Amino acid sequence: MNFSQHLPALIVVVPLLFAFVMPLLARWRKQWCVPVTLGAIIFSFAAALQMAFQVMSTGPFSYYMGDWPPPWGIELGIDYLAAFAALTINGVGLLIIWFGSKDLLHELKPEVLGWYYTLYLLLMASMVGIVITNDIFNMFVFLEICAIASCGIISIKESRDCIEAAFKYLVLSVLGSGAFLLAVALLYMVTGHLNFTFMAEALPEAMVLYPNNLLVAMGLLVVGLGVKAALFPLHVWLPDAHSSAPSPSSAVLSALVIKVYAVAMIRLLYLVFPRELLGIAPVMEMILWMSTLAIIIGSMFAIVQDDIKKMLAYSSIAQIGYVFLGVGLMSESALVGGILHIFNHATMKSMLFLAAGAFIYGTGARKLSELKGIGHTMPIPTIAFCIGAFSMVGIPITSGFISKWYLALGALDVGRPFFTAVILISSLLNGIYYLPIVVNAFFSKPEEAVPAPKQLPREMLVPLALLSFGVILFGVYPSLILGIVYRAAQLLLGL
Amino acid sequence: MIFTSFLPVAAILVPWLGALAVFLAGYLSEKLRNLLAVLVALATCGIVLSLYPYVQAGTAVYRFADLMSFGLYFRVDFLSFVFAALFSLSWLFATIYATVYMKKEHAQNRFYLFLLLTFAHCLGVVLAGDLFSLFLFFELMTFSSYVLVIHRQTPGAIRAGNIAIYMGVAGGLALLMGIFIIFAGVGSLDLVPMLERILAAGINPLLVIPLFMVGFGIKMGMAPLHIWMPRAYEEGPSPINAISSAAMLKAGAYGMIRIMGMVFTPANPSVMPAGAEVIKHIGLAVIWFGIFTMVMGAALAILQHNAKRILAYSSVSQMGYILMCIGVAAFLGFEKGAIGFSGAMYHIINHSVFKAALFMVVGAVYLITLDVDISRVRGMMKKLPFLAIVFLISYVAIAGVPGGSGYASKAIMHRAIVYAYKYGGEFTSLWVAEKFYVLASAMTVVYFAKLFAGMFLGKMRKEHVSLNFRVSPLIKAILFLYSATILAVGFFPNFVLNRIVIPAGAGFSFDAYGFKALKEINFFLWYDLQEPLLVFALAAVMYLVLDHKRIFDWKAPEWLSIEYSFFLPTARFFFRTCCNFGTAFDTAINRTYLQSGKIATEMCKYITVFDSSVNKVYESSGGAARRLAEQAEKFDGVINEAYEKSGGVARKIADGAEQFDGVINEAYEKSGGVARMIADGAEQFDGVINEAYEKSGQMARQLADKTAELDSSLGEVYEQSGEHSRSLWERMRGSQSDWNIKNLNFDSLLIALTLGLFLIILLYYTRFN
Repeated sequence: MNFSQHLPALIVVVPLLFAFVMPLLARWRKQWCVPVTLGAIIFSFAAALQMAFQVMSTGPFSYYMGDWPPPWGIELGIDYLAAFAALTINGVGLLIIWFGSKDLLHELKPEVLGWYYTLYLLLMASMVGIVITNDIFNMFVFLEICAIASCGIISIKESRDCIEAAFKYLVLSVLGSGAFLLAVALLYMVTGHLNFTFMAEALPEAMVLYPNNLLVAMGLLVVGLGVKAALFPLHVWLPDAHSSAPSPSSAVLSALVIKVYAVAMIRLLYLVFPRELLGIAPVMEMILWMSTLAIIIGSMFAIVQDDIKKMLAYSSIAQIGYVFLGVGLMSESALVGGILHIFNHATMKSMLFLAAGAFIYGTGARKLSELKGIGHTMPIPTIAFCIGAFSMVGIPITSGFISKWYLALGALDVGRPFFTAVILISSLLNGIYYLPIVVNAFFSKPEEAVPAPKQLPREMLVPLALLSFGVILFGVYPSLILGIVYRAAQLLLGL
Repeated sequence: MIFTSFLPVAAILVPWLGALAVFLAGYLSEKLRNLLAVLVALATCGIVLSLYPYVQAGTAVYRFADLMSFGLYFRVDFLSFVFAALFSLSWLFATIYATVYMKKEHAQNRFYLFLLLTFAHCLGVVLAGDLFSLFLFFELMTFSSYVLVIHRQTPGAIRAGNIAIYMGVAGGLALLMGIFIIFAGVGSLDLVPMLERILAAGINPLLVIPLFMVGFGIKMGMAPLHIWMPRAYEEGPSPINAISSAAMLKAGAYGMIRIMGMVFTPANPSVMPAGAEVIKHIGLAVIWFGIFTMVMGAALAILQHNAKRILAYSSVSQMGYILMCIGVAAFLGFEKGAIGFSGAMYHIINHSVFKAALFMVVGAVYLITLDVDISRVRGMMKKLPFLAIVFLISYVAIAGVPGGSGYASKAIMHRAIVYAYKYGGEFTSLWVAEKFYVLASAMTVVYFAKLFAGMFLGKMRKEHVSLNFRVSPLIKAILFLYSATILAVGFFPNFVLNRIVIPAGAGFSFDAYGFKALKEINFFLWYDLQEPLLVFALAAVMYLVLDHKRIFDWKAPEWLSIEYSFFLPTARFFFRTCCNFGTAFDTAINRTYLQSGKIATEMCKYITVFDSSVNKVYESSGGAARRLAEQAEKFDGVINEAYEKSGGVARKIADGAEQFDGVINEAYEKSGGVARMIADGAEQFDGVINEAYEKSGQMARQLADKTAELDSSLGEVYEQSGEHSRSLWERMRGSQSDWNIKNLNFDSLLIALTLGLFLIILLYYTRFN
């Protein structure tokens, strides 16, 4: 048994372990908190990278916790989707907390800083857990950890808004978990298994015997995960939660947390539920229409916002719509586009939130009207914001264009040009609310003289620069990541 | 012959990297930056021109397979080369011009950076080998030219820029939609004739071509999508006007030619695929769009006072000519379409030259007067004779006077529209179109006469007399070159036609005979001279009438403009919808909240009523218990009596027994004593039981009292909790003023509703399918 064999377990266990070490460190060795957190996430990132290479070279593999083979033990299944998602989570999560190591100093009280790292590591561990587990009850456990940790990183700011938003998020997310648990129970009732693979084998037979059980389970799963993933019209908690939280929290929530639930839903719908059931019940069609509404209405709500973080939060609602659009269309290109958008949106939305965080850090300005002329005083965050905005609109050479390209072609592949038009119209809507910010930042003058902004530390500039570089790089060379996305989509569709 | 050559890529990379170098050089020294900018433009020009040997023999291609997941593809044929050469020469002159013009402007580093970036992207559009690469550069051009348009950053410029960029993005998306449809159907985006494959894939050209027309039409100023142009031209610096007119509008025209003249034409023209006749109708529509654009642009130009606006509308009008010819090419198709293509190409070249010259003349005047409104800037002829002469030469060209370059292209275009009527089948409307064409040409003459008369003739204003009327020699040199070109082309029209225009038609599916016939045209014969004569006669009449009636000074009401009557209301409607939708959503939530609050209050009331009734029940039950206890007491008493009675009976029995004892006293003395003892014991027992009964009665009474107390305290608690929950509801209901989406109940309700809906739909489908 060599070390690398245990990576699937370690990628979850290491951040989990360090999460609990963090309060101690915060008490005795405060300055160690940041390096240890970064170290733990770097380890996970390296592990995810190694797993991705392994998956690409030898195909999907699984890991039995404690050497108990399923159906008795918990199985971690590393397939293309899991490796891809783990890589995204750790890569983007690393840059966010790197940025946060300085940004949080001014947003949080010093005595809770150590707890923030605990919560963050818990969140990372649970997100990775959700995407790599092959066991539905284990997934539920991680979902709960994830929900609690994400509420924690919102409410840690201790402002009235944050606590209100976090409470609301907590209640709704618990409702979602409840629905999920009920679905798990229903599925276990008819199949007698909790492992995805065994469940998938047992379900075709169960479908004939207990169709209603399955349908109710599916409805509960879609709605339960939909609440957590903020699929329209279940998004109601998102704008408050994502806009009031500290900027690194907003970034990680918008960029990663909601995507993880989407990955969970993809896995359940494509790999667990029998294909015939999806043929009988129009669940994909419903996801499609919900996502279409999300894309259009999310953008329309974003247009009328004047708080930059709130606007970004509404934009996330629209963007998660793209992911689900890819899921619902059920064609290879569209699924590639949807899965790729998980990564692309993670990079660009985290960059936008971090840039907004940098503006708030530098000038304290949250209103869009206060950002006039900021391009001259804070050039690097503004350029990063500008690249992110272009990527959101889907200008070629940015990564946003690539995912839209695949989604649009996927819609045409299944003969539904309407959804291609939806994608393009939403690009225009994105332009309507993103471009004025860029224009104002560079070409308008502030109405009154503003004091020079605080200088950004290097720890905040480098992640922004890296993320903007990534957006361009993956826009020009999407093949760097398309390989694994393609295989993931093919595996999911059974091609 | 297909050559793999890096030159097309170099032609884009050099200005791209050069732009960055120029930007950095700007921090060192202004002179160095200007020199470097000109050198970069010159080098790019050299690279583009060095492609000539390749395109003469075939095409130069270069492919990056991996980029952007689709691959970038460059393919330069003669048509691309002509456009690229035209662009790079225009850019070279505009850059030199800018070094003089921009001297006093702010943010010059940025200006040169984006000037050269736009150059690269604009070249990319014409050097691109497939629609994907073309779209990529088209989009980049929109964004980089935006910075040039708003260079002054005045509110007017920002507004002009906003319109330009939103229309640009919308056009880009329309283009992308068309590209998606073609790619999904055909699987290829190459710029080759492929109408057969498009039709075989079941794509309706009637749906796709309009998308391309919108995309390219916005860029080329096709009415009614031209509204961004006049504003952008008015606000942009003159060198930008010159390259916009000479190159960026032409990039739109290039796209139109590629789509209408190439992609949507059959690869094998001898066998027309089924359904191809729809192209002919689209061609007819394009002709009419062109006619509409040219007439409307000319009419609006007549009404303007700002020299830049006149020239902007003039550009719109001239692009209408080009659009009409592209329409003719599509309309006539393989047999006679060559004439339309040649007319469009020829006019594109000519218009690039003379319109750039005109904008530069106006810019030179602006540098001196800082104003180009012809109601104020007048009588410049005496002080600026050189500019006046250049203007006149360009005027000759644009009016189509023999000897100017525009004459030949207008002659071909006139032939094109006549041919369309003659050979296109029974379309009477084209006869009318030809009349409109003549009318538009006459209007061109009129508005340029107005511009010339306004700016150069008349009496100079006092405040202008004392100005320094020095024109930079660099500007003079450029303008001289432009005038010389105009005259040279004017006198030798067949050279350009045979060497540039006709070779550019290679690769298009037009009949070679059409081109051959064109080659032999002698423009200076009666057939072609008729039209300008008619135009001038008409123009003279028109000018006199308009001048007499003072229509030149007429200000059109706002509702007449397309922007005010259509685009602005649309935008306003959209934003209002967004806002209304948002507030409606919020209001709906709040209403639900209020309603649920009300219902909750009602429910609380019911609960308190229920409480009090429960209380009553308890109270009455307490009474009942008391009564029960009393009864029990009574019962006790009865039993007591019964026991006492039974005691009495026992005593009587005992007495009887005593009497009996007296009778048999002696014999039973001992037994009598025993019997007495038993009687005593019984009596004692009775007393004990009596006491016990009495005690239990008291206990029951106490219990009843206790329950009564408990009841009342419970009642109080209920009432208090009712009040508490009522106030909680009142608090949670919130006030009408804070419109927010913060309602947990509502959210949970929403989740429940969605879940319910989901399940109902799912069950419905499984039950009934």
